[in-house]
Amino acid sequence: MSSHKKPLITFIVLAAFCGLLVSMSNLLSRDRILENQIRFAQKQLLEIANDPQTELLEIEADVYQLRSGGEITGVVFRQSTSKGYNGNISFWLGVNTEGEILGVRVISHKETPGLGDKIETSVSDWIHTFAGKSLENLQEGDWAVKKNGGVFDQFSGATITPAAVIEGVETGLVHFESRSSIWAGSTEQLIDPTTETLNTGENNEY
Amino acid sequence: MSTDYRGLAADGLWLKNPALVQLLGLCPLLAVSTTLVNGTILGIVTLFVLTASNLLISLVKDFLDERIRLPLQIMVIATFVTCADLALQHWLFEIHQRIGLFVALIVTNCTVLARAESFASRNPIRASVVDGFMMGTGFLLVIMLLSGIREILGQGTLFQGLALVFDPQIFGITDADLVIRFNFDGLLLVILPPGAFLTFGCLLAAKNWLMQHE
Repeated sequence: MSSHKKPLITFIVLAAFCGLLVSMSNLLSRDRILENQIRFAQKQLLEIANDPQTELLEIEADVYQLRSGGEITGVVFRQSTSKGYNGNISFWLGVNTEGEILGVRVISHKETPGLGDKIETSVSDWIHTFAGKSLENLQEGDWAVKKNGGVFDQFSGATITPAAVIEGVETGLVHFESRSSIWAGSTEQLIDPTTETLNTGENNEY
Repeated sequence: MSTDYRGLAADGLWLKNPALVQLLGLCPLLAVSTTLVNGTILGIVTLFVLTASNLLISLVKDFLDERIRLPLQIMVIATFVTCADLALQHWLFEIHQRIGLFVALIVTNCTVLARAESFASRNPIRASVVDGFMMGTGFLLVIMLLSGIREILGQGTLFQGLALVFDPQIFGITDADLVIRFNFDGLLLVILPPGAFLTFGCLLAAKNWLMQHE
């Protein structure tokens, strides 16, 4: 009888101790981790806005308005593509009021290090070639790597990754062109940014 | 009988080095060793987990029944890995963005379970801590060597990503200040997974040659 009890007690005590350790670390680190995530996102967004004075306003999940002096200068939204070499590539796509790309920043990806990771700003400048491009100033066939007749550089040894990002960006532009209400709607009711624009985001539900 | 700490150190660092001799924990070793910074951070986290899990397992070894020993060891290891993972997100968020997947996978690093099972559950507390620390250091040194070689040969850089370790608001340094760039683009193969195996194979050959000629 006691030979069955002993391991059970060990199990319970040790499990309780481990649970305590994990919950303690979670409790201690939770706020800071959340803060880190927000700060990391904001850092990328401000890089896209290319102006440290820009205010960021989240109008719905993963969609931010960029404002300068109360006026909307652009919109940044999260987009992702599954056409990469390995798993999803998700990125921020920033567009100004003219529909031109302000910038693209990769949030997460699992592309091959040393090959596909040239989409990161820390590795290569490639992602900056999107700046200034728009659906108007590029033809449909231009949204591709040079090898496939487009205007974007491929990486030596890797075309799948850049091709996926290019297609994802184009898709994002088309998607958001059709949702221009996000801009127009909120420009008109700029009275109280924090509450009013949040409401516009939720209007879809009614 | 007094414990032979020098023997434990020699075992962990060289004679029974977990990576070079026992060939354990190769998945993270090969996958993360693309840059020196990534490899070093993963090595340090592994070192911490190994030492901490050896300590706790050794503390409770008299109560570990044979039937539940393995699941309990995994539970202890998973606990410390989770704590380390959270700590990394707390202090080194951007590094975690790059190697986070492999931090969670330390749970499955056989080195950690092997030390818990074959050493910590049979030996006194202090010896177990020393064993965990030495084995962890042995792993850390190998992953640093491997990732350093791969970064230099494969990318032509060294210390890429080091700026992420420091808080930019306090130190104000960027990668441009820290990264050493060599005057060539690097051999792509070395960075790719096959390159990891080839480089590691060369390290093994070198280690065996050294041992034979000692």
